[in-house]
Amino acid sequence: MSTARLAPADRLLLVVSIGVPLIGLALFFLYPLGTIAVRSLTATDGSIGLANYAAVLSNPGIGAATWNSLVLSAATTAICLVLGFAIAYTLQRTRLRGRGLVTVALALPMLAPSLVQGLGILFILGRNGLVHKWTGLPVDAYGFTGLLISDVFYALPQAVLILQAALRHSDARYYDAAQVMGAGRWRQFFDITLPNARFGLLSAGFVVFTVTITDFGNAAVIGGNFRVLATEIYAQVSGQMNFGMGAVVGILLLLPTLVAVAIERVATQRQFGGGSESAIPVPPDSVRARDLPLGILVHGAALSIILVVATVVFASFVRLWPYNLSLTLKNYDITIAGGYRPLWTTLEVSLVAAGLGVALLFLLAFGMKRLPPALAKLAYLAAVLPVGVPGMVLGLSYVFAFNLGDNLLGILYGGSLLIALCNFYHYHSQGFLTMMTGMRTVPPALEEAISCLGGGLGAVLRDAVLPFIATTAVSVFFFLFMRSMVTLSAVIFLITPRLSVAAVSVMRLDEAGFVSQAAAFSTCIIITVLAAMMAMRVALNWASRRRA
Amino acid sequence: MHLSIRRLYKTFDEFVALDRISLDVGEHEFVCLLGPSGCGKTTLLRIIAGLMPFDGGSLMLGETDLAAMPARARGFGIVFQSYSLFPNMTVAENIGYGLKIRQEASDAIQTRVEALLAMIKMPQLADRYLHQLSGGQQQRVAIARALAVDPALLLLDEPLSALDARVRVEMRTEIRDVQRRLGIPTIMVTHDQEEALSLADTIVCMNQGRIEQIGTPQDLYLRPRTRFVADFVGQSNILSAEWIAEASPAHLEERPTEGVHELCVRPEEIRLSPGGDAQVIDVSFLGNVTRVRVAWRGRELVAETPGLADFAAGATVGVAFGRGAWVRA
Ligand SMILES: Nc1ncnc2c1ncn2[C@@H]1O[C@H](COP(=O)(O)OP(=O)(O)OP(=O)(O)O)[C@@H](O)[C@H]1O
Ligand SMILES: [Mg+2]
Repeated sequence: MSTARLAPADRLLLVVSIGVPLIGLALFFLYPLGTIAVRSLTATDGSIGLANYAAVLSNPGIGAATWNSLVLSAATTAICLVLGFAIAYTLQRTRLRGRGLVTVALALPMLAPSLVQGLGILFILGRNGLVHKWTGLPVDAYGFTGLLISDVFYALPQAVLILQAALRHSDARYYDAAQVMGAGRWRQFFDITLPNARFGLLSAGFVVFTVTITDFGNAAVIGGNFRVLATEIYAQVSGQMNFGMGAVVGILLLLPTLVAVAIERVATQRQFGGGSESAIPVPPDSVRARDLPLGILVHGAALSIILVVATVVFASFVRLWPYNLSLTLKNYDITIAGGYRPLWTTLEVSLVAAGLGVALLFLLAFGMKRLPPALAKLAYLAAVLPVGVPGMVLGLSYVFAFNLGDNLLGILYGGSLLIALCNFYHYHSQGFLTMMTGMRTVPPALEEAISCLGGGLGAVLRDAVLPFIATTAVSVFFFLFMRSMVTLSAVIFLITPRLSVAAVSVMRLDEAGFVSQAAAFSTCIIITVLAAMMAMRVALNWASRRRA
Repeated sequence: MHLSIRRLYKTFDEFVALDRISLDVGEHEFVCLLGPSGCGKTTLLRIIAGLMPFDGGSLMLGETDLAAMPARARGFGIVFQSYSLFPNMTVAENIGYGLKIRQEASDAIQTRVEALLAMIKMPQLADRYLHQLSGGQQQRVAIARALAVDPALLLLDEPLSALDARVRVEMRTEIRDVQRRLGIPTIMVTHDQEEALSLADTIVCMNQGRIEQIGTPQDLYLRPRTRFVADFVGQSNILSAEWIAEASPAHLEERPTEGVHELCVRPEEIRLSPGGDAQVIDVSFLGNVTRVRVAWRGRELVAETPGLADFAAGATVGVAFGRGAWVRA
């Protein structure tokens, strides 16, 4: 829909509302990404060429890390698909009891930095873990197995979300028809359930693969000598100051995720294009022979996730894990690594990222349908591109783009605003898509009626758009806030000795061997995020009550 | 004021949505845009409202050129099929919205809103919200909101098509009464021919982005100029000139000389008499009329007679028909 003529004041408002978010995207996403490409082509002596690529390809460490990353991600994906499908099926199609517990378990990993899974597994299966203490067996979670478990726990909730949506889109009439024709339960499962969910499976598979291959937190905590690409970039840049090689690994990391995201997008479009509006949802039922093994599997997984996170919380109150389990608060007396200051910094950064982010996304989504179609397509592409860029790569690109004294943008480096911006653009796509979905609920007729009644763009915003999008805006705010509270991979490159964030503190405490303090700090993050979630519920209630 | 549209042209990419539309709307006139789905009615209405740009031609209100004027400056009232009221405002706030935008004094707004509420016969519902209103009531509020600002032109895009049949007929008369009383020039889009016939001073019949015929309801029904109009407005038997030459040569006298023409004969113009060379195919009773299909001279004709017909399927009848109208094929 294009508006015919605009009054001059409206035109100005429109230009600003679409211009500011687009300039933001260009400056804080496209430009840094460009610099990383340039840096990957710039050799140490300043010449342009493929020297860095040659160096990376011939580097045996990086070759091994690539292989490790691929194997790890493939294994995680396989496990998450099977387990995730079982869980999604249980939640969507059965009346198994305790489904609430499963939902809670799946929400847990979203509340904490990804390294909490790793931390928890170390507490249980590590060299000084519970299992070792109780059995005396020489268990050691460091390496592939530990990393695999923690990545599965970390990625599982996202797989379940997608698979649940896929299962929700089926139609009860298929099953009725099959039953009338005499198909048994297994037949129905293989002929209807699985084929109908195939795009969901594909899309969940790619999301899990992407999330795993780009995750830094778990790899840093529990990877040990099992080097993966994410830790390799960090080692190249932080350890050896080898920026060119870091850039190349960053570009390499971009490839699988870009492919995965592209395929995933096609898949979801096909999936939702196929679902009809009038589908009759498949009613959940109870079948003993199916529900018992399913229940054991699903509840086992849910309890494991809860156990791991609960262990971290419990360990934070314990005097000396696992030898002296008497309770204490002394672990919360954290003075090293900046004490609690990073937590407050993170809170501030997250509020800024969420506030600024919602404002920019709102303007972008609002301006979107008023742009000429060709320009709108470009803007859309730029807005959804960030989802294909791993946090590590974005963080590294910020270093290249902003860690320069002579650059006007350089003054941002070392400040909390840049971290906030980085977090916002890291999660730009998801926020943008949600905002666009919300924008679609605004009836075009309402906007047009306002124009005909003499209202300008401002009146359209205030009276037509805001009332419809308030709820969406609140949820986008809290999405950005929560992600920003717990993210590690991008910000790891942006912290300075004077400015750090919560997830980095957990990592530093763990690196320094203060595992109990790391657990205490993680618990503080979880509590902060939980409190924010509660606030979101209240705010959403308030917003929806105002609408009614 | 007088709205005048000259050779208005509009394309979407390659597709011609409006092909040189010329149309005048007089001071107190009620014009209906009638045509099948996708013929460009909404497009024309939105261009008049200023919600969409056009590619060629002119659009004038009195002496003012509307081409360069944004929608908000035109001062027109518009009513859509649905979803155009503010869900977060009361009925009174909805109606007073345009006046508030114009920054009128709040007591003046209140007086005006009360008058309009009385006019749409909803004075006691001023404080209701959207979801507490029926579909018909919502459309009344939408009309009152459009009228509140004393629009120079009232634009209605299928305002009744989301309502059920009974309410639709009721509101038809209300819209007509209000428009007569206020004398506001009005353009209404509809694809319901009955609605157009009963409401309009002038009907503009459109097809594939072009105007087929402009005229009074009587014109369109009794003197359709094209086969499309004859088919779209009311039922008709379309008879080729060759067939007429054999069946009823007397009718050929009035046939226009240039171009290919066919004779449009309305079902009520066909008279059936017992005994003859036509055979009754079937008879359906429709309440006020009875429809009889007969086979005559190698083709099928539809006739309608008031009340009950005393023919049964298979009976032989004689056929005679009235003047009819020659239409362009
Ligand atoms: N924004 C647009 N972009 C491209 N084509 C359009 C657009 N709007 C309308 N069209 C096309 O222009 C033609 C006329 O559309 P319009 O909405 O005016 O039809 P209409 O007569 O109002 O039909 P209906 O009775 O179904 O509402 C249609 O073929 C439609 O597909
Ligand atoms: Mg229309």
